[in-house]
Amino acid sequence: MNTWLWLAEGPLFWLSLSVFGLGVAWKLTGLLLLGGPRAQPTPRGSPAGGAVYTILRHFVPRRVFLPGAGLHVLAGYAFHLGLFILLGFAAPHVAFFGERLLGVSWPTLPQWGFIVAAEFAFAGLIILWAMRISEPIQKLVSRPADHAATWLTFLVMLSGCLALEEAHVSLRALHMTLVDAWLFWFPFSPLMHTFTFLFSRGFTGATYGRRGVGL
Amino acid sequence: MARMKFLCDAERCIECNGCVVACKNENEVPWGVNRRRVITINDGKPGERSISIACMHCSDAPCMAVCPVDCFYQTAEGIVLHNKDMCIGCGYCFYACPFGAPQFPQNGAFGTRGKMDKCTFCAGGPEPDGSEAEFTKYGRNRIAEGKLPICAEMCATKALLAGDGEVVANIYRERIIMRGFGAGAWGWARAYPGTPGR
Amino acid sequence: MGLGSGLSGHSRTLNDDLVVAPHGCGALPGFAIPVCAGGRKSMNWPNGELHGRLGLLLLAGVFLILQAVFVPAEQAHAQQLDTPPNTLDQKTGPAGIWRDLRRGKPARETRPFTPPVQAIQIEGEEWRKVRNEWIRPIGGGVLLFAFGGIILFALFVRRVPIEGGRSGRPVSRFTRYQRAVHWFTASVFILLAISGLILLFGRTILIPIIGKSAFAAVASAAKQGHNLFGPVFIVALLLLLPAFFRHNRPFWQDLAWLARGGFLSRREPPSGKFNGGEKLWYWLLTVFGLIIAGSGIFLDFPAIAPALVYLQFSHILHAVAAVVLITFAIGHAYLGSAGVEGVLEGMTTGCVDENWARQHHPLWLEELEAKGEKTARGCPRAVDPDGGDVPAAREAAEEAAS
Repeated sequence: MNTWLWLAEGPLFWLSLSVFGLGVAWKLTGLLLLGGPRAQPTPRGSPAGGAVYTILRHFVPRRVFLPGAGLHVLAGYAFHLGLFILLGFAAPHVAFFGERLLGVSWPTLPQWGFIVAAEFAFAGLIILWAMRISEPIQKLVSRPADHAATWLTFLVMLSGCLALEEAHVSLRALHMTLVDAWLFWFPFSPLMHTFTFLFSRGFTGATYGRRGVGL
Repeated sequence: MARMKFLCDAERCIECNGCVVACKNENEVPWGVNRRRVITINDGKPGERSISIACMHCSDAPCMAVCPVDCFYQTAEGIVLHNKDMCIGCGYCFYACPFGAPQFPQNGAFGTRGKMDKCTFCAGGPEPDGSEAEFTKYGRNRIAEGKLPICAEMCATKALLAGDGEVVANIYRERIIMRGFGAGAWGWARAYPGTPGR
Repeated sequence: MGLGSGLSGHSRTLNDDLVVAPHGCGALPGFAIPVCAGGRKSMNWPNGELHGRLGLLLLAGVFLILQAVFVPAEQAHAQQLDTPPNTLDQKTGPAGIWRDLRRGKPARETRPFTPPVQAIQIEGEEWRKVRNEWIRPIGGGVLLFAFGGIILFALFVRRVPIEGGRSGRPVSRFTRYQRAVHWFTASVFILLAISGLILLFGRTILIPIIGKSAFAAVASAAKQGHNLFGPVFIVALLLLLPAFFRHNRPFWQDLAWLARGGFLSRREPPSGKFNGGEKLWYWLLTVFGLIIAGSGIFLDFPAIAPALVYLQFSHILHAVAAVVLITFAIGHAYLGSAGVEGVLEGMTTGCVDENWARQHHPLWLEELEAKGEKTARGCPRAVDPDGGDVPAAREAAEEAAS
């Protein structure tokens, strides 16, 4: 049991983290190297300004889309915010990243805060997945990788919460193993949207910004 | 084999809480956990009585029966102990115990209970006798040293008796005879039903 | 005991009761300062002396009356003090104390700022009996019957086919929102059911297989998971129940549908959008779902329970409701998927085949046609998910080819 934990938090973790770091850097570099359009007329507005504006503006859907997309947006935010709060401020995570990896510590969530954040995150994720398998367009455009990303993330979260008592090495090792798998697969999966959303929104924004059109 | 029992003589208890202090001190019981408590009924009225309560180490222990992970065990001497490594903190033993013996060190807003803690008759737990691990988790193991629980040893009036059930019963019987009035062996009918010596 | 005793234990004397107030002034209870009404400043009688014999007689009379009231009580109290309390007195002797304790008379714990304790609570024994001798064996039997029954059913009762084959024409049945909340609720229900069953039956079923140590980890995971997803299920229920309320109002013909054996009968009685069985499931889920949710809140957050008996009772309600819901959920899941041809696509794509609708829910189809609400909006093209022949599509293809 201890061997498993040592592997999952030791060599396997470092391997996965390296693949994650290098993989993300490689993919993003590749994207940047694709470059922009060659022949450009004189810009009428600022591409950079347009990029930044669009990145921020697209965090909130336009009102016309709300009747159809309302639940989707709500579930999405519940999931992402819950997950980031958990990742960053749950006591076991602060102990792992902060104290173990970086040598620093920061304030943690009280137990009830963790529970609330986790419930929002789970509710959001499950609703998003339920919509992905129910809505005709989403069903059409979803590939196996999209479903796998949802499931793997769900399993990472679930295993983490199952180990909440922090009293059994096997449960912690299971969580760490799934985390390692998640990190390893990350650069090659739809999870890259974590970084690429900046690129795609930015590109759209830059294009329109150059034309002097606000988006 | 001796069948260990507790008996608190309600006629002698003076509510000094010496048993409580002794238990807390000897076992380094954390703050908020009360393995042994002294309660008083009819406070200020005729018939006021004080009694010291802790785990009675029942014959057919309800805690043992309802535990979902079966982490309780009963020694040959009848002492009911549990394994904290297995305990999941569900609280069922507390629902079942007639005497409110199980204690939980944490009680957050969501009722997040830690591992259950209770009186061990100063008999430690499943860890090796007298080890550091046993002391940290379960407290002192006096039984392994051939001694009796510290609460009874410390009792100022010998209201609290602990040890071989037969011996305890005999002591108490003598007291009743000397006093000349009826027995009130508190809790015995509930904790040790059935034949004597069990 | 009379007036002589109070909670504090010491007897009240005449001095406490008589407050001789100066004329014109009164002393309000609790206040040491006399409160004077009116303009009288002097504390003396008008003439500076008592009013002769009348006054004396009056005072004597007052004292006599007070003596008559208080002294017998005092004496009775003293009598009680003289009599040793250590007697076979049923009330205050050892037998009486024991009886009081067993009946849950509250006692004071020496530790300050703690609420009164119950020295012995026997409700726990009742709870133990109900859980271990009734819920576990009977509930376990019911669940085994449900699991085993559905397997036998699947093996021996053939899948209900669509009469006349598929028409190839889809009809919209469930909205995106209804489907999403249904699968949300179903996922959370499954997680809760598995973790709950581990906690209730794991000791008897899993420990012999994987041992106590491994099971402790499994049970810890089950408890944490169960407690976490509980509130999520409440949210799911609150979204689901209103979403499906509209066509689930029960009518007498639903009972008739059930009595005639529902879809098992030779000639299935006609149903609206939801048949008797579906409505039964909806209302069971509402009633038992709310019971499970309410009891679950007490169990998950014990701090809000006013007394232990709330937790014990909640646990029993929770377990019974869980067994009922899991049993019916098994039937629902089977009949909603493998048991009936053409049913699952309603909840996955939102659309069903028209022949299926005509066979199983003719009244609903008629209602839609009458109102002109029958639609195939959002439905995929008429492709048979089983890969079989779709008569209408085949005909259309043949027509196009010729």
